[in-house]
Order: sequence, then C-alpha cells, then structure tokens
Amino acid sequence: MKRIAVLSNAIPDAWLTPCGVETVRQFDYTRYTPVPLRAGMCDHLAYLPALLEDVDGIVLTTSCDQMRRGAEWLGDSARTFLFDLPATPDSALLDIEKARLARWVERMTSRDCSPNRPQKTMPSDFGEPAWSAFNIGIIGGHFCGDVALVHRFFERHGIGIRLWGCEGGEDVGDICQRPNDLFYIRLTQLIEERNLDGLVVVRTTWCDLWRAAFARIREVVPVPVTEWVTDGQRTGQPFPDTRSATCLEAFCEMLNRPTVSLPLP
Amino acid sequence: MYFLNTKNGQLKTSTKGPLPELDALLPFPSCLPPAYQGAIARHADMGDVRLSRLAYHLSPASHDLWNFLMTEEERLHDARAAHQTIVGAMKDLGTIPILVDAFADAVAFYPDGAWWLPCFKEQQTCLLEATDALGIGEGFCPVRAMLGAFELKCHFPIPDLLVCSTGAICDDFKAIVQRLVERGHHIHFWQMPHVRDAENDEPALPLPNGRRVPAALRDIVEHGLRGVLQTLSTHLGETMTDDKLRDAIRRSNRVRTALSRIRNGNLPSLERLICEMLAIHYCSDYALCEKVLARLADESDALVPDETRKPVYWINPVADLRVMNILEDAGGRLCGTDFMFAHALALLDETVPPLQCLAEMALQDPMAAPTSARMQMCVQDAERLHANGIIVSRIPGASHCAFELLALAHMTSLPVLEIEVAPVTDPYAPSLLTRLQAFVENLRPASQ
Repeated sequence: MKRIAVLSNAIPDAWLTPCGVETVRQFDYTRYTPVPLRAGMCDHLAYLPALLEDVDGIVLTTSCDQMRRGAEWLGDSARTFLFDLPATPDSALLDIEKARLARWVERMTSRDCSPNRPQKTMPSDFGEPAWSAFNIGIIGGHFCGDVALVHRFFERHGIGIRLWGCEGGEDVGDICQRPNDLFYIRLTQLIEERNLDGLVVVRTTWCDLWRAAFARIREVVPVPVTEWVTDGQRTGQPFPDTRSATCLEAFCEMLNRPTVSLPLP
Repeated sequence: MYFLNTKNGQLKTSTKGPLPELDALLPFPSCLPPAYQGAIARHADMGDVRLSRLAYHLSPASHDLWNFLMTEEERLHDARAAHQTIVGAMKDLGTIPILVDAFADAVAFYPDGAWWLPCFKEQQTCLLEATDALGIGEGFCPVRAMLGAFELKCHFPIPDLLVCSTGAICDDFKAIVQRLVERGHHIHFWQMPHVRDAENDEPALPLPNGRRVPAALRDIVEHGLRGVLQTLSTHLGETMTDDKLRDAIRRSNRVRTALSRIRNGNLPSLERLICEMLAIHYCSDYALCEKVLARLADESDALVPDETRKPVYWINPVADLRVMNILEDAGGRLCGTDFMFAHALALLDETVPPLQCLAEMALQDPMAAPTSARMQMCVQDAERLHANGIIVSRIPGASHCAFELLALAHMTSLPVLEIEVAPVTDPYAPSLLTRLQAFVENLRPASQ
C-alpha cells in the first residue's frame, strides 16, 4: 500500500483512502536530516526532501505561501501534489482540486479512485488524552520535533497536553480562511470542552499566518497563551532549546501554582 | 525643451538634480489642476522628508508626475467631499480599480501603497508602532504600514468599501488583512487561485503572457469578480453593464499604452519606477494619470539611453525609492522591470466579454503563478531588452522573496545579484552602493 504524507488537516483522509493508500499525518521529524535553507524559508521545508524519501508521495496545500512555493522547490511533480485550497467558500475550485487529487493518486496507484468507492476510516493517531491537574492545548503549524518529547517535557512540569492541534494533529479549524472567525469560535469551544488552563501556539520563524494569529488568539481566548518558535530543533541538541525551555517553564510555573502554601508564621 | 541636454542639436540623456533644482523649473504650463500644482518641497515640509534626499529627472513633466503622486491623499479627500464612494482595493494590484472605474460615483485606491509611507516619512511616523502593537512586527513585509494607517486613521480616508483578493497571495498580506477584519473593517474577499499550468487531461486556456492554464480557473476568477461587482452595485445603487465595463477597459488601455511607451523609453530609473506604480490604480484619477503619463511618454521617446550606464533588469519594487538613485550612482540603469504587477501593464483585449477580459488579466498576476513561471518571464524579458544583468531586490519579510533566486539561478546565463532593500537604506547605503558597483562594473553586454 502506498504511503502518502498529507501535510494539511484541510485534506481529509476520505479524499485519499478510497484509493487504498495509507495517509500519514504525523512524523517524527528527528528521524529526518534537514537540508540547509535560505533565510525567509519556513523551517518545516528543511525536512521535506528527507520525508519524500520515506513516503511514496506528499500532499501540500496552498493554504500558506511557504507551502505553495515550497511544493515547487521540492520538485518531483510525480510524487508531490500541491492542492489549491480555497481561502473562501469556493466550492468550484474545491471540486476541481479534489478531482485532480484523485487523478494524481490514481496515477500513483493505478486504481479507481471515484468518490463512490467505500471509504475506510483511519484510526486516530492520538491515544487517550492525558489527565493532569493542569492541562494545556498545543496548536499551530507544523511541529518539526518529536511529539513524545513534548509530552514528556510538560509532564515533568506537571502539565498534561489535552489538545494536540498542530498540523497533523486534531482539527482545530482553519486559520487560513478569509475571514477566519470560525477558527476562533472552534478554538474557544475546544478550550471550554477540554477544560484547558492554557494554550501554546507553535510556529516557525517565518510563519506569518500563525504569528499574526497568535496576536488574535491572545485577544479572544480566556486562558493564558504563550508562543513557541520551534525552528532549529535538531537531533543531538537539547530539547527544547534553552530559550524556549525557559519560556515554557515559566509558562508551566504560572499555570501550575502550588495548591498547598507554607503556614504563615 | 530645456529639460534635455542637447549637443549639436541632438537629443541627449536626462539631466538629474536635487529637489531645489526640480522646483526651480517653476513656473511652467502644468497639466495638473491648480490645486495640485506647486513646489514639491511643500510635501517634504509636511513630512515626506525622503523627497529632499532624492535626485530627480529635471523636467516639467517629471515635476507634474511627482505632484500627481504626492497629492493622491488630497484627491481622495476631494472625492469624499464630492460624495463619491471610496473603494479600497487590496492585493490584486490592478484588476479591481478597473471595475470600480466603470461606476459613475466611485474611486478606487490601494491602501497597500502605504508600504512606502515609512520611506517617505523616513520612519518618522507612528504607523509601525501601531502595527507592532497589533502583533504585526518587523518580521512582516513593509506593507504592514497599511494596518497602522487604518488604525491611526491617517494618510488616507478610510474607504467606504474594502475588497481584497485572497488565496494564492503573500502570507504577509493574508495575515495583515485578517488583522484588519479583527479591527472591525469589513472586507469583501474574492478567491485568487494558484495559477498553475494546465495538466494534460484538462482543457487549457492560453493566456496573452504565453502560459497555458486550466480553463476552469477563468470561470473561478470571473465568479469572484461578479461577486465584487454585485457588492459595488448594491452599495452604489448603480446597475453595471458590459458597455460601461468596456469603457473602463478602454480607459485603462489608454494609460497602459502611455506606460508601454515609457517602459520602452529612457526615463531615469526613479521616475520610471513611479510611472509603473501608477499602473495599478492610476493614482485615483484615470484622466489625470493619462495626461501626466502621456506627457512623460513624449519626453521619454525623445531621450536617448545613457550609454555610460549599464542596463539591468530589476525584480521586485523597492521599499526605499532612493535605491533607484543608488543604482544609477553605481553605473547601472533600469532597462526592464518586474515590480510584481505585469498584469497591470499589458494591453487588455477589448474584443472579448469584459469580465472575461478582466479574469484573464487577473490570471496573469505573476504573484499568483509559480515562482519559476514568473522568473522565466523575467528572464525572457531581460534577454529581449538586452539587459547585462539581473538584480533581485528582496523585500524584507516577504514570503515569496526567499524562493526567487533559487528559481532564477538555473534559468539564465546573465549575472544575477540579490540585495535586500529596507524602507530606509541610509544606514547601509555605502555598502549597498559598493555591492551594486561591484556587480555593475563586471557586467558585459549580453552579446559579448
């Protein structure tokens, strides 16, 4: 079975799995050797050449300019598919792109990918949510590190992750729509439903969309929010890097106030 | 024609000089209404201090050009006083203003143009502080100044309607306009698809720029433009017809014709940049723009190229106008450009249904195309114009700039230099000059 890396939550499995391909959405990026990038390019792109070696194909979307241009930079049009994802409710473009995606997968698998074929539901990659006294959500763009290490880091500080909403994780809505009010409505609902105490927004240095969204998230959500710039997490280096660790530890301490205080003299 | 150097009665190259020398040309018969005439120095005195540090093409037509550019805010306020509807077109760089011009009582401008404000004000403005406070900091392209201008309600009247293309556009802009929405500005968004090449199994549409794109994309853009028309019609209470749209397209073509002459002529680099920038919305006045450009085109036709300077092709507009002077100080001159809106310069096909014509124009937006397609067109243009080299001018923070040199590197044998231009380059102007000099002095004519 062909393995297709799908790099956007906006592309559901249902558009691909009728063709009998396996979709992969979360990766241990520490397994991949990053290539050097020019200043201004999203750090996530550094891992894609190695990822392409590991799967049969990659689906990217035009939801951000970095991915749009990154797909072209990556080359190999037979194995790289750029899905033009409408930023407005434009069903005509969506239909064209779905059909084109089906044709691309069909070429790859030589199977009939018509939408009438029965769809296979993919199991969730995410197990039962962790329970801690304090829980946070982590949302954002692509996280180019080891998710298990993130869980371990926060657990060490007494914080559980009850929402993993980075790209490839749970669907927290689409920040790339214009306007994107629905994203903030959904996010606020998720915070309430999961009883989250805080939120971490992950982005890379050159990610304009999440950087701007961070400012808005702070304005609208009822819990503390911090930002985590994840560039340059490379194998063999401390995780998170020193600066990020200091920020995240301070955030954890703020959330995780001791419930027992010293007796007053 | 005292504005040209002449030798033995032969036309010669442009004479350049500082602002006092440009203003010393006054009085002369101007093509502008009296309210927009006068010394350019008055704009510098009112805060546009960058004007004092530029070297100008010394001619009355050039003087009118600068006055026309610097009085746009006055024209917009005049339009508001005359109860015209002001439409802020954003990002598409050329298409929506033609639609707006088809209506009797509407005028369009690009708030995006605020990206030059930090340059004109030499950063002596609170715009960027206001933008920083909204989370749109230095990592974004200088177009973020637009958000500050909206926030502080200065530099242009807040438009009655805002229209913005979205989809295959820069991330910076997509992020910034969303912040505008969050600050209470309603925006009519329309979808700009990624303009890819047609696949073998898709009906293809040949575009005038030589690309073959999926025919279905035209329908998508046309649908988006219909939505914009509907919004405009409802707001203005005016029914739009094909005849009115055709008239607007014809007016646009008259301006494009004048611009084409200027692009093929020998105006100095700075004035050439300003003229091309007028293409996107005609500085809020089609008729006046046509007069200003026609006069400059006559002059441009009469100028001969300055053979002491080597012709270079320039990619991307500069956030600091002074860099155009620096290029010439370094021994170069513009012979061709891609300032990100080639679709606003090419003549429009008046024989096809007007919305189809405008949709096809929008599909030629180089920024909606793959980087390699845009760079390929730049290379063809540079070779056609006998450029000796290509300069890629990076815009700080702009998402597309990181990829341009990568795409260009393997496409041409012409020498390529990449620079980055901030809104005010003074702190590193000496090194920029040296860099440009080192590049230019090694350029050889393309045929050698």
